[in-house]
Amino acid sequence: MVEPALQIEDLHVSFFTLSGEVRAISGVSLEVHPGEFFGLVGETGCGKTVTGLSVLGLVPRPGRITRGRILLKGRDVLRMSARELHRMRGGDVAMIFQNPTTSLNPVFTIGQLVRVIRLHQRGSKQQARARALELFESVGLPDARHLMDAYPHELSGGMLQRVMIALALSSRPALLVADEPTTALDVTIQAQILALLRDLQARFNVTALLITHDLGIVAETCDRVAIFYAGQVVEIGSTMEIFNNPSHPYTNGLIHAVPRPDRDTGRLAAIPGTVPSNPGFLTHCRFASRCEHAFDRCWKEQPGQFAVGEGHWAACFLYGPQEARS
Amino acid sequence: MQTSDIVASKDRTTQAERLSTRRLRYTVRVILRDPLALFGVFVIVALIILALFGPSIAPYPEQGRGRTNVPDRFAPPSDQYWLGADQLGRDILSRIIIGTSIAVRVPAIVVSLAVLIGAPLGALAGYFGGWVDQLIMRVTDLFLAFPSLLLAVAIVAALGPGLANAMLAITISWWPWYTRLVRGVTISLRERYFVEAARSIGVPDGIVILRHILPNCVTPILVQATIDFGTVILAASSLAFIGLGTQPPDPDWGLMVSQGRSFILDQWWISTFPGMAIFVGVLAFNLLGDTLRDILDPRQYR
Amino acid sequence: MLAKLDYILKRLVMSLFVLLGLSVITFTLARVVPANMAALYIGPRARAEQVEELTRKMGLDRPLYVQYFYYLRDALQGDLGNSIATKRPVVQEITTRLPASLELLAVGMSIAAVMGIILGVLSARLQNSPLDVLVRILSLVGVSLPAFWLALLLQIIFYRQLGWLPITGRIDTTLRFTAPIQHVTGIYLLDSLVTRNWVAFKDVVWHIILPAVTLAAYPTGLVARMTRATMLEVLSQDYIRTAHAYGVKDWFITGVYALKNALGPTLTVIGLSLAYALTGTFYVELIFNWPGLGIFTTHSLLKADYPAIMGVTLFAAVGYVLINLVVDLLQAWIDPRISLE
Repeated sequence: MVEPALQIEDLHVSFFTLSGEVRAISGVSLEVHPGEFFGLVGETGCGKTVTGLSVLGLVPRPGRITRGRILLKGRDVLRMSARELHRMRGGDVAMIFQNPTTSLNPVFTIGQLVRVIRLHQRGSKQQARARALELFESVGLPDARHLMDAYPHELSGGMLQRVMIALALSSRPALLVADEPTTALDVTIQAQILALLRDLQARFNVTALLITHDLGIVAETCDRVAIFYAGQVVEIGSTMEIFNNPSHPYTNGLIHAVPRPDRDTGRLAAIPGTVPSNPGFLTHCRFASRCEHAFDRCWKEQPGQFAVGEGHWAACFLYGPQEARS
Repeated sequence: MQTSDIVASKDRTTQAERLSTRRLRYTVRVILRDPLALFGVFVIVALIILALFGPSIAPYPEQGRGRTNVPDRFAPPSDQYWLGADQLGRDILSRIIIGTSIAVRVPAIVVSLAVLIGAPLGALAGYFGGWVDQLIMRVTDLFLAFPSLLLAVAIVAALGPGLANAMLAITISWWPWYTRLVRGVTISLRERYFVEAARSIGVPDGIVILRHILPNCVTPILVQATIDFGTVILAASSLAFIGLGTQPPDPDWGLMVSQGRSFILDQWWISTFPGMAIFVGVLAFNLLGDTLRDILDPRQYR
Repeated sequence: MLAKLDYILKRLVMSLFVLLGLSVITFTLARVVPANMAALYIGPRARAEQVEELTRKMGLDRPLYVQYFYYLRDALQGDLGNSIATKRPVVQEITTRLPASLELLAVGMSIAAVMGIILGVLSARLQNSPLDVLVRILSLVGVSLPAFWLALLLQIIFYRQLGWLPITGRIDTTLRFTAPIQHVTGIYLLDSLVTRNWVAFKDVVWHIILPAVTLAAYPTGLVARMTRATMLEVLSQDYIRTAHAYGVKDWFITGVYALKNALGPTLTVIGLSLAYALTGTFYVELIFNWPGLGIFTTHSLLKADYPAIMGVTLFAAVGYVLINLVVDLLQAWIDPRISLE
């Protein structure tokens, strides 16, 4: 069995604000295998972005990781020294962000940015530049040499995202974390970037954590998916399994909420209710208030992981032992 | 919907953006919780009280106004003269208290005038654009190119020393800042829908400016004016120090510092205490202005 | 590149217009406002015919626009009239005293710029720490202090109480005989350094500390506040997060990467605080008896020496405009986005 590229074990992240503690993530566990694209799906505020940031140790103040382990290539990120952490970022792990236009410093040229960002890597400046040029070509940026002298505001969003991807992959990281990489782009550019990512996966065996709220992107790009709700993972499985056999009521609701042009579904199906405020301190199933299948037990304890299929589990008592329903 | 309904609903939009009482109460609450701002408010209130009731509070009011008391000259701080006496025997504390009226009156007049002149010009420039804007801005930029105090000094030099001339000079140096400020706000407001809506139904320009634009300028003007109060105190006392402002025997704080300069080494209290009064006063206005700026955040108008 | 040249040209033209306007203002103040220039020039014991003759000679009976034309022409040729007090050309008075003021301003503004930026950056990076609070309080104090009061306080503390520093003057007068400074630029610090006159150098440094610090108080406060505010804004931007995500060292991010973005407004504020420093020289030079333009202006003000006052005013204003022009151009050079506007 090949060692997983990323292992998150029982991660808890809280934000200690002036109004009190906000538990953003309560017990997230997942595994990403080398060469696969793993999607983190959920609505805004469900904790998927914080999970991604945690992998790099970039949770912003006043947030803090309160419990858990994050194993990258076998080493626990949360126990690393500052030096190891700095070396790891941009090295073994690289992250690309949602808005490429604001993610690059506007007063530096692309070439200067390459040098700054690669500054801590081994190799001379020339080597870094040569490598960057190479990568720019492979991400579909023609005329890479002129690109180096351009400023970020002179390039389009799509081009900038390609630059970011190239930078991220330049050190052949073991893991790429992509936080909503196409949300801020036009639909047509979106498709191009996704195709690029798939292409890179095939060519360079890239392993990626893809954070998104768009099920369509998941269907197109991801091999396996984790569904997030209110700071917890409620279902994990392969993309095929999740789409063909959505088990958790929330997942089910999500899949059926997507409008399908080929089917006349009549009224759009929405999940009734809203995410509970401050769900982090609830001791029962967080989806109970909106679930049409909820029964007694759902209101008393938190569901564990129940197997639903091969490599597919859901955190729902529906799949637990029958006797324990009440 | 009738036209009057549209006007009424647009009116509500603008009212919501004005300084509503709720925002006022929120502002007060934040101030009350911040010790520095509280200190500022306390000092300002004290200054106003002293300015209004100075003669009744000062221990030696006639000395405060200038009557000399030569036998007690150079008296160090003591029970009789809390802050000491100056080179003509006058109680420094009384002179500072009586001088508060000058220190408060000058910025009040100057800042009010500067706003009254500068703000409407800025609104006109920002609203109408075109040659009106060009003309007003050229003149404003010209005045702004001068270091403010230098211009004031030159004006007083040309007109002759005296408090009135000093106030006039500072006002002339100050109004351009408000023009620029209000122009900026007006331009950003001009693009907003409620202005377009009002104009499209034929509301005359003057009314649009008065009812929709100027009220929204109140906040940034207020923040700037509060800080300027302090800056004008500095400017006025600086002019007095050189001898271009208030003339003796009036107890202007800057003038008092200047008069005590020759005795600075041995009778240090003559210059030190009036200077401290200036410092505390300016500090108070700066503190309050800073807090107001943090709360009201005029950055949305930039 | 072309866009930048365009911007530079536009800025230059604007400056020219402003300079012209300045001359109009100073002319108005110099000639139009004072009641009787000639009478003032001759003095109180002049006879009516003398005044009349001088009026004609000085061209004061001509229409205003003609007077302005001569005024401008003379100014451009370097003639700003003669000082009533010293009877010497104003320009000569200015050039004699300029090095001393330049020296003071240069040292003061350097302290302000360096200290202000450092304090502002540290304060922003260590937000809400004790250092941050201290810097914020000190900056606030700096912009609230009357310069003349601070000068006096420093004299009391460092001369009277501690005896560490000299009270007035630019240099110990005895040194004129024992270790005279060779005149190269007129700036004592430079001259003594270049001619290796260490005794004089140390003495000049000792003398310039108090005046320079007094002058620097307000600008430092202003620069620190602006730098802090801008840095805070910059540090919350997405591209800083990207830099962190790639393991760029923290001190590099703060000191180089983010600072470049924050320099723009900081430079503007430095240019603005120069205005305060300029007028600050009036008091500082007066109190410390520093033989520069400031003290000359102050004395001229008291003597109602109009040509001198207006000459210096015009000179200072022109200098200020030019320096701000340089600051603007520097900004355009640093921030590539400006040229597009």
